[in-house]
Amino acid sequence: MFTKKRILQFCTAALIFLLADFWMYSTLSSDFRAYEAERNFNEIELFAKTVPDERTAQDFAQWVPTVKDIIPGARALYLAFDEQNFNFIAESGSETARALFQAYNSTPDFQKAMESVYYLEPMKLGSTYQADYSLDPDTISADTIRSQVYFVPVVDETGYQVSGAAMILVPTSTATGYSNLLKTLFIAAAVVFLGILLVLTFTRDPLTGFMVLGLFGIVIVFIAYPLIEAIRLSFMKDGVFSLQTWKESLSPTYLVALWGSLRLGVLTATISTLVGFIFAFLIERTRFKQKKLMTTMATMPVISPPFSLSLSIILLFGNNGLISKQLLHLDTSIYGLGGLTLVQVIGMFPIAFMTISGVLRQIDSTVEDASLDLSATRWQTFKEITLPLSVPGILSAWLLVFTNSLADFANPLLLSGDYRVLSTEAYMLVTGRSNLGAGSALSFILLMPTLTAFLVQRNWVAKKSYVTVTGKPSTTLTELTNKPVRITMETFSWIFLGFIASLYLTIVAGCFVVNWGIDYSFTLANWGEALARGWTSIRDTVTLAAIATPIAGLLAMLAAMLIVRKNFPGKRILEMLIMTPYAIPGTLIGISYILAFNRQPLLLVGTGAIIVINYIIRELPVGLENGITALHQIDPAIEESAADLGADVPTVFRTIVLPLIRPAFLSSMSYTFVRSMTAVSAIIFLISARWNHLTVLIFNFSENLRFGLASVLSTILIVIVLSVWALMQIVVRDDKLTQKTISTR
Amino acid sequence: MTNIDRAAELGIEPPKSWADLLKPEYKGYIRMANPNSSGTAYNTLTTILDVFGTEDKMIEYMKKLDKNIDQYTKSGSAPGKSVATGEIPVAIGYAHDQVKLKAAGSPIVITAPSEGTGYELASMSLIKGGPDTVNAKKLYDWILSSPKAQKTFTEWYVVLVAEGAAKHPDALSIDEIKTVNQDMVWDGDKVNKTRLLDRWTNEIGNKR
Repeated sequence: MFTKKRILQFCTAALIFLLADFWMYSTLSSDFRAYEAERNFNEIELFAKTVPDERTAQDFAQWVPTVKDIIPGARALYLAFDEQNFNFIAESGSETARALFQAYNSTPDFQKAMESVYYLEPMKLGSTYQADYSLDPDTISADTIRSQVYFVPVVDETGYQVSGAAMILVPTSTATGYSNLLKTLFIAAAVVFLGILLVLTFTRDPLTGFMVLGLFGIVIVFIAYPLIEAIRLSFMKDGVFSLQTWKESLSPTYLVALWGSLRLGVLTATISTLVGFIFAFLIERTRFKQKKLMTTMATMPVISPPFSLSLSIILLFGNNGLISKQLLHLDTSIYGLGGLTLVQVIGMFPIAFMTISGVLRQIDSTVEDASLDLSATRWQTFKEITLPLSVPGILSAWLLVFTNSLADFANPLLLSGDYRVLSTEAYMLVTGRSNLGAGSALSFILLMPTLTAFLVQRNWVAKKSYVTVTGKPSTTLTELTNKPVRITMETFSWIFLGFIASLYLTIVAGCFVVNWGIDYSFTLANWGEALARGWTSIRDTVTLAAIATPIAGLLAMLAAMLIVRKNFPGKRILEMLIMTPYAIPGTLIGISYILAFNRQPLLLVGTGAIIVINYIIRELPVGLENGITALHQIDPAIEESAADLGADVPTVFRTIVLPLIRPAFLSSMSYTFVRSMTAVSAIIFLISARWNHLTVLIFNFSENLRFGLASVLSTILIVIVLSVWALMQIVVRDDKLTQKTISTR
Repeated sequence: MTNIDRAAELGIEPPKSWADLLKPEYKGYIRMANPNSSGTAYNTLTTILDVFGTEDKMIEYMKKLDKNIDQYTKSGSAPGKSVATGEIPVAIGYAHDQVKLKAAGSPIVITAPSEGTGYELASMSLIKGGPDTVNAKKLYDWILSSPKAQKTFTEWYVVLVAEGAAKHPDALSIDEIKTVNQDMVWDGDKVNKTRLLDRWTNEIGNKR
């Protein structure tokens, strides 16, 4: 690949392009600087002409500050011409300018300028000077900024003699801003061109090379860059390197929140794993009758919108709840650790259920059969065989739920009360105190346990395969429980599911109630008001999610195909980078996006594009996993024969791969749509006046106790999500692939 | 504001002054917003500061008040709504939010503290160099001069400060309430606000 001839070709072409690139940049840059200097000159001369007719000291003092109106941010100092000594004396004006003048008065540059002014020629000094703007009382930013210095003559009444001069300081921030932009753009152009050249010269299959390059580009710009920016900015305060933000974030007050998050996570994970195990065991190891129904109902909470469970818990058990207040007249509060755990367990036990269920299915029942044959009791078999074999599944489930609970943002937002968790603390710091640095620092602190759990689950537990491979697939299912135990488990499961169903019914009921807690009369007014106020949000959310879905699906499949079928340098890094958003809490992604994309050339904050990009980036990991799994099941020979017959990579992708992985593709697309519609933790930072998101609107209504409106919007969201999901279930009948990954918001 | 039905159930009287709020009988019955996320609550802090004079006395008061607080909500108008539904008996908030709830039929009574209370000044701003300055200026003119516009504002129960402006019959009148002397510029200064909020957060908010 790296032959001498090609290297020579590459270097020559690169050199020519770089020279041209640099020449264009310097021409544009110096031309702009010259234009700007000339414009400044014109304005300053205009300014000099506005000198008041009465040349009293008071008039000068009033006139000098008006330079700000002509050139924003400028400062002026009036120098009177001393005829005896042939020099200029600082009279009145900006203290900043005066300090600078007194410091540099005797330097040759200044002397030359004053001489020039004597001869009625304005002059701009060649070099820029550091001026301390804090000396002036009316400055907005008290910084020391590099400034350009201009001298203009002030002529007397005759118009021919100099009576004084004005020294004007113009901070160079705006000018350097533009030339920084130019520099960035030209460097980016150079990088892009060199990348394309590299691919064209050195790879045998340039199309693949471009796709890889494209993927790397997307991943670096939209995943790596925001995170690096977030880290960098957490080490800055007011523009300089400082550990202040981190010191504040690691203070005991926030460590309390960290501890709160961890405690909640452990509680939720443990209880969810227990509940999930019971459900999984019931489905996989007993002669339970309504398995399909139970499985379907048990996976509902995963796709339901984020605030719906919290909302109905408040409606039923809140301080003015239907059950707690009206029926039972209790006085305890559901807000805090108890309520949060309850809601999180309901929302996340399906993850545990799915994981453990998958593991139990892979354990061959014949082993248990053998144990029972050897006259072990059912309990002994369970304790010595089933349980140990399912340990990796249990651990996996625990870690997955733990991660999810830590990153959970929606439920604590409504239900935490006084109980503090890190995810909402970061949100309050960013939205309430505009302290982005502290918010991102806290999110990084949250990242530590999340990332650790994720890595442990992925690289250690998942690799421990306790699958029994006997060579003979067994279709028997050993009944490991006797009737009473099974009935108990069944009852428990049905009660649990019934409770969940009643929660959803409460939301629907809440739509038709005038004022939950006060007035339970039937009304349809909520629907009218909610639709009137929420219609644009519904429309925008569905639009953005619909745009993101196909893009995410295609990108994920493309990436999966490249990673599974092709070999290229950096493959593992690409895979790791794409999977990164899976392990990162949504709040961190949201905050890092605001930090990274709020200036040129990538000014995306406040647009719909940033929301769509966020959706795509969050869904890529899941889509990639699905794609890799699906592709592993397809024999590469089919694709190879297509290639032999002359198809290039896109054609192979379009005609062979896509149709074969259609089930996985469709299911991951529908998951993308569902999860985009119900996203909240990253989205809450990215919405703007133009683009509001349905889930955020539901939150606003809930927080303002307009439960009727919140219920209506929640119902609409549930209906949309359920219909998409049901549609997918009908279209795709492959069970294995549809039940694949359930993951975080 | 106080929900009279709920207060009667609990056997408490509606508070009438800032000092009343500190009484032990209100323990766990008062809700206000978190000053970090709500301007309403921050205004409460600065009002207390103006009533008592020094920052230390303000923090002292807030610490004592904290014992009676049930929870700090994120939004400024949420405590009022909780009182309207009877979830909690007493809330601290802006009068115009509360008058709206009263007009909607909630059994509440609104009291201005006897020592004096603060206020917010809602205003319009014209942004220099905005996309449509001429129409913005026309809007300004219309709001300030049209009687219809003025009447629309009164329907939000705010008190219009222009001379001769209309007033909603249910809204509180600024003449009838004792107000403290607020220095809006000082209150809004970033340095002061950060200091006050940090003090409140470190000594009260994070200690719950």
